[in-house]
Amino acid sequence: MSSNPREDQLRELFGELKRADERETPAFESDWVAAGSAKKHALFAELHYARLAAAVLVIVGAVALLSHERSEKRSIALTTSSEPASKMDSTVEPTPVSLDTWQSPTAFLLKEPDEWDQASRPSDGSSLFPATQPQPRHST
Amino acid sequence: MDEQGLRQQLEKHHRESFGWALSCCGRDRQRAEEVLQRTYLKVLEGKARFEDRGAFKTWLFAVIRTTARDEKRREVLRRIGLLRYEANVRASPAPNGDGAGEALDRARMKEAFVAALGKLPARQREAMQLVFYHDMSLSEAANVMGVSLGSARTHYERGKRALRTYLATQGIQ
Repeated sequence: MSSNPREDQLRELFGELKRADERETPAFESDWVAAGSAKKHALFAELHYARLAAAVLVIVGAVALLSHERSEKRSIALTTSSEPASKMDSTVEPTPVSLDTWQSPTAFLLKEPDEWDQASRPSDGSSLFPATQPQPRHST
Repeated sequence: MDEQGLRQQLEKHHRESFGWALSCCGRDRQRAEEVLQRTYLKVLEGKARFEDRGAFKTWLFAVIRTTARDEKRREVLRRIGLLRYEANVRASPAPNGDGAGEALDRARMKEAFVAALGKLPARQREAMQLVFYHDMSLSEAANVMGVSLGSARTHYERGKRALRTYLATQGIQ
């Protein structure tokens, strides 16, 4: 690529720089060994993070399980405490209500208007007051 | 290529690789060595894989260049405090402006030359280094730099012109 004297001069300067750099080049072996040990270190670090992640997962799982058990116990206690006092006093053990059928006392507040109890709504044309039977008139 | 083959190839190009790493790291010897070790680590871990397309040297130089850029980015992050700051005293050669007309000895000449190289924009410096220092063709240099041949040629021509101007101001004609 060179024939130009100016380029030759640049090439010479670069060549000199190259020779100086080559004298300062670290041994390949040391860099290769350093890279190898860095690889081992990276593997160890990855393993360390994996262990840490597993430990966190176990702790989170345990906490979730405990909180679930606690909430289950609380719901059973709520059901049994809402029983009438006479029953509570009796010697008969209250039967625990299953979680599937249990409802909060305020659950009706969450219902849509369409879901309200139809029986409690007055129908069209009906009176709000109970109808009275007309009394037969007695002529005296 | 197996690990043994890779090792042989890397060993063969080690000196040239160090020279290229030096250029990519602004002639900082310590950083250049770190970059080279990281490059070897990438090769060992398989993060950088030679696909047997093109020359090994061109591929290796491209990996070194990318690694040096990543290192530089990390260095910037360290400096702005996002990562732990690591003091890195760099002995950058100061440009010498009063040497015009004087006969420079070899050491001073090298110093002035390195300073002039440092003043070039990165792309121009890369093109100059790859062609003159590593005896690559412009096409190979373009591959390493990740630019088109035309773009590499432009950087090369501009770099030559700028370098001559800098050298002239340093009294190296």
